[in-house]
Amino acid sequence: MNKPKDNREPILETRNLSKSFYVGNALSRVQIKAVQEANIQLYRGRVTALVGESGSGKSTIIRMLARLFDPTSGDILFKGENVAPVKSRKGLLKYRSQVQMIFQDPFSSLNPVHKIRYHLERPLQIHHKARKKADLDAKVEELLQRVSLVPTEEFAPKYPHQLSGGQRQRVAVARALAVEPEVILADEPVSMLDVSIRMGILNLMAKLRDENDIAFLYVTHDLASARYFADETLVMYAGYIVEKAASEDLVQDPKHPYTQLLLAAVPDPARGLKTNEVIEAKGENPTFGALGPGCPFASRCPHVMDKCRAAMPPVTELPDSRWVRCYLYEEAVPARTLQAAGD
Amino acid sequence: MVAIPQHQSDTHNPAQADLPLLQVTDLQVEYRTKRGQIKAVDHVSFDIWPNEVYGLAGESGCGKSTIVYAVTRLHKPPAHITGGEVYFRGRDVLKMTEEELRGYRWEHASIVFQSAMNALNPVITIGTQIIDAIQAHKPVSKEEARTRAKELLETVGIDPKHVDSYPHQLSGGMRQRAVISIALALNPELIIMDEPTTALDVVMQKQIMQEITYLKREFGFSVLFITHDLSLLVEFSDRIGIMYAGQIVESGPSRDIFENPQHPYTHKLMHSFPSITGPRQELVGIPGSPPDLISPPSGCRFHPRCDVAIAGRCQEIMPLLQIVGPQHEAACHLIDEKRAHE
Repeated sequence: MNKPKDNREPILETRNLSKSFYVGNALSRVQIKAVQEANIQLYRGRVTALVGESGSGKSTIIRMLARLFDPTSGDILFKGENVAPVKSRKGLLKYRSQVQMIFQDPFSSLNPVHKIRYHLERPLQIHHKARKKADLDAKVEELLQRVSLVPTEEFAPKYPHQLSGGQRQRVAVARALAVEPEVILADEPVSMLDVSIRMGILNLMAKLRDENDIAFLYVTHDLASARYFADETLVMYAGYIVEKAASEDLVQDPKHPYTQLLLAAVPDPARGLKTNEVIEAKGENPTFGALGPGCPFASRCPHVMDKCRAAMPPVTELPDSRWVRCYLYEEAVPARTLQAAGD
Repeated sequence: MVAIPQHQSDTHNPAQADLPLLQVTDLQVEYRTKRGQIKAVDHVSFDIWPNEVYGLAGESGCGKSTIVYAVTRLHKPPAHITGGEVYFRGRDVLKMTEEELRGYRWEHASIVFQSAMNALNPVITIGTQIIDAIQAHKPVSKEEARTRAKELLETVGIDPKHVDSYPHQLSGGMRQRAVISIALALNPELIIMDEPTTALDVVMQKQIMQEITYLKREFGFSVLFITHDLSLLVEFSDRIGIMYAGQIVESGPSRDIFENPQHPYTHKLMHSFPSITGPRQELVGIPGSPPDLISPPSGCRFHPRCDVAIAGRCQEIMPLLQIVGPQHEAACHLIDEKRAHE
């Protein structure tokens, strides 16, 4: 189900994207570095997964890409043009007509007082995709068809509460499609759904990727679904993207010690029942305020070295167009750093 | 046709040594709502043996959590138990008085609820909350209870100095461990875990599940384990019951259920989630959605979503659970069909 890799230009790209939040009051402000130096490339017709635990910063990244948060520093390039400074209503409207977002919770992302038809008509009107009643009706029907909510005349007049979770998420996908976007940012789109209907939504998005050449960013905490749906996977830990690889390579041969830990922890009956290998790294995700200058995983890492605590490792490029931010691989392959100096 | 009655119920003799710890027979629970009666649990039978992990799986609304509330008698209107029996070590739970229930509920069967880490009282220290649980059930001094609280925290991997910490001073994983320590406080024989690790990240989940496995070996309790995460359920449970629309449609040892499912629903469910090992294959999930239990489908409740349903049979006759292997039962007409062809 994967397309052969091509070398087209990324449609949406981030360069050293960072975001800090400040908590506390004027006297005791604590800086939380939620995202640091994130470099992501999204390509047409490809799914990129961003995998991380809660609090790793993956939702902050997707919200910056959707221009819901302003980055503290760094650039967001859409078709080569930096959109991070765009603030005007008109500019944002134009950006959002090409980059759409699907949220995690289909129970709260649809307005309970409006019918499904309304949810699909609004973006069509706002982005001037259809004006006349007949055009609107035709578009709404087409959208419902594309997400397999058929018979369409049955679904259009319903209210969100009359639909199941899976159907609601299909409405959310249809709403994102209404503006004919080139990029869809999906924030944990299936994690609130029942197991039996998750695959239907992922397969629907895979179909849209293939048929409409849409670029997807798939944010998830589930490595197995990233392997299933995404062409390549980025692993995030405590604000840093620590590894990037083709999804299959990542699960077959994880490089970063955190990725290795994550994979060992994923429950997987196929791997043999009741595996009792004890997880090596102890501890939990760090609290952001307490992070030192080094690698955030250093305190849990079984391979920790002195330099890990001193500075964050740079990006080390490895074969098969993958990279990792870990000193363990620094000597193995000559390093070519992509990152700005000073980390 | 080898239709077996769901379970024999003539074994409630306390003198019998090989008695199940918890025995649920033909349990029926209804919600009486304005829209009508919802049969959330419909003739469900299962038993849990000493030192066993029994897992219940199924989609949201299939009745898993209703069973938890019913077997601990914590259900509240509009839920009503309308039939069936629940026996704990030969004692009839449904006939217990309030006083007997108080003892049953924490000394014999304790519960770790979904997102239990938010169940801790934020203005009372962890230690006091454990001490309260102990003193509510056992006539021990505060000092003894405090010593026990420290022991318990240590047992679940928390530094005993946190006995004087408030919940907000602990991380999510540590709070969940603290809740488990309260569940262990009175050495219960059964711990009911309703989505115990859902709010935690996978590394913490793995650590806590390993901790529970270790404690189970140490103290010898049984677990009724409920989670929507099928991979976790299969990995952790000894036996599994698969629920669909208020009924158990298949039950058996985890390995058999995972590797050799007999009910089409189980089969589809086991092929609904991607894996990090093995070939990367196309998965389809299950088309449609679970039925509305106010007017469940006739016959087999799964037939509208089943692609191997037998015309004229599955929509009319409800299949009964029948034995398909050692300890392995499933309720599907296809099993008869297969047997007829053999």
